Amino acid sequence: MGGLSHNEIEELLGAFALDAVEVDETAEVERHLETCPRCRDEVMNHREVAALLAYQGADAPTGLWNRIAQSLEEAPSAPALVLPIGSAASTSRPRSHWSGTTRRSARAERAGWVGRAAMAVAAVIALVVGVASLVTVVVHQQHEITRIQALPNADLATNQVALAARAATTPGARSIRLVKSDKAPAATAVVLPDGTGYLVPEADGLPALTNSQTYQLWAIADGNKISIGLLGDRPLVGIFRVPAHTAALAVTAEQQPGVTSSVRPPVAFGVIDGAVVTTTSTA
Amino acid sequence: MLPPVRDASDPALVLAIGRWHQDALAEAYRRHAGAVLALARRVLGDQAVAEEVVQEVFLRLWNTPEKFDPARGTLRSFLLAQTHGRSVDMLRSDSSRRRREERDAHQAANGGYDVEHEVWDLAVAEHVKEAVADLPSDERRAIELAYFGGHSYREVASLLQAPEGTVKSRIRTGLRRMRTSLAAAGMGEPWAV
Repeated sequence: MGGLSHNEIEELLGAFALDAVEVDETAEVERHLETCPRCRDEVMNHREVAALLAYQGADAPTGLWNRIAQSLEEAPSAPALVLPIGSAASTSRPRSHWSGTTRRSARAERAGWVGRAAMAVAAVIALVVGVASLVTVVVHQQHEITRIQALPNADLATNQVALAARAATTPGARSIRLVKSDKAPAATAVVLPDGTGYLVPEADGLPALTNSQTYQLWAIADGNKISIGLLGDRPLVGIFRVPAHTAALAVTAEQQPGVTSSVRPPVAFGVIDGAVVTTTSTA
Repeated sequence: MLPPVRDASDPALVLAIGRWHQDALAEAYRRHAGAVLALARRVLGDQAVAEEVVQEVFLRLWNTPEKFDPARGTLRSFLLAQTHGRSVDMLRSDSSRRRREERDAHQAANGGYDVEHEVWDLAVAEHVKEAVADLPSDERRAIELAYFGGHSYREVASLLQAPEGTVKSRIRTGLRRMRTSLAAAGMGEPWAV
């Protein structure tokens, strides 16, 4: 099958939007939509109209939600190092779809991770523009210096702490506040213009690890997540270099000695100010 | 702080789902599951199977929230499109033929499909009803059979004893006509939350 003209494809768009075309035609229309924004728009419009036709005011059945919620909790589990997200109810629930290949392919997991990072980026924009300060990442430098200097074990890592403190006062340095999914502060990172970065976790900012785990730091750059260092299990200061076009930083908890590709949800996440907003806020 | 989920827009809810907020999925369910279930039940004619579809659609949203692109339409239309596609798949599978025959017989006994009596019965529905009522009957019938009947346009052509090209054209023209009249009634995207 193949070779339908643009006009022939267009004629199919209404039926396509209603799932009323044959399988071979579906594939051909889908291929066409990948490269034709006008036809994509038309399908979108048809589906909005169809949604109105379907729209009924019935209440959502509670019993069915209970079944859905239960299936979320029964799904295969990752090690229980899952970031508590907002509610106490979610803290004990492992995210099944991060658990490996049991329900989704590893490729899908990776795509999902990056997709989620992109969504998180979009979330930041939405919140910065409209609602609240999820990541108002301008950190007062003096405050940071004071905080870093007050770290309890600073005397054990004087050099690193001093470097981090100096970094925070370097002209052109950017501060990134990494937060947990409940928005509680997890760590502050400082990235110098030359790409050198320092990560300083908050006291108790990162969730506890199990015995055989380590924190791992990732850069999200051009839609990829790139490992930029292992932080160990009790990081005081992490020193790293960010790749070009890094838009966000994430920390995951991994089995020692770390992984080349993570399928876990980040335990801390922060978007680099400016780069993100300017690249996507025009959408 | 994030706003409470009840106050969040649909795109913000999906973003929160992407960050593993089960509360956000629950809120998306509260807002849209009624419509999702109604459509699945309508197409499939079976409450139990329709509930399976609802469960599948919301689990899919949980597992792959990035598939929803707010630039490509509302969350409701996204969920309903997923629901419709899955329902039609099930309907067209061999094991569902009998179910479909039973459903068709049931609907025939009850006067068949009737979009005008099925739309949401609130303010928005008035505009939709008018838009539907303004459709030429052959366009309306083709859309009903395809959308609520789950028939392909070829099957619709056979049922209506009309050329396939004509049916394709009726569906497309009817949908466009409805959109135009809804826009004229000031409904740009009134269904967006």
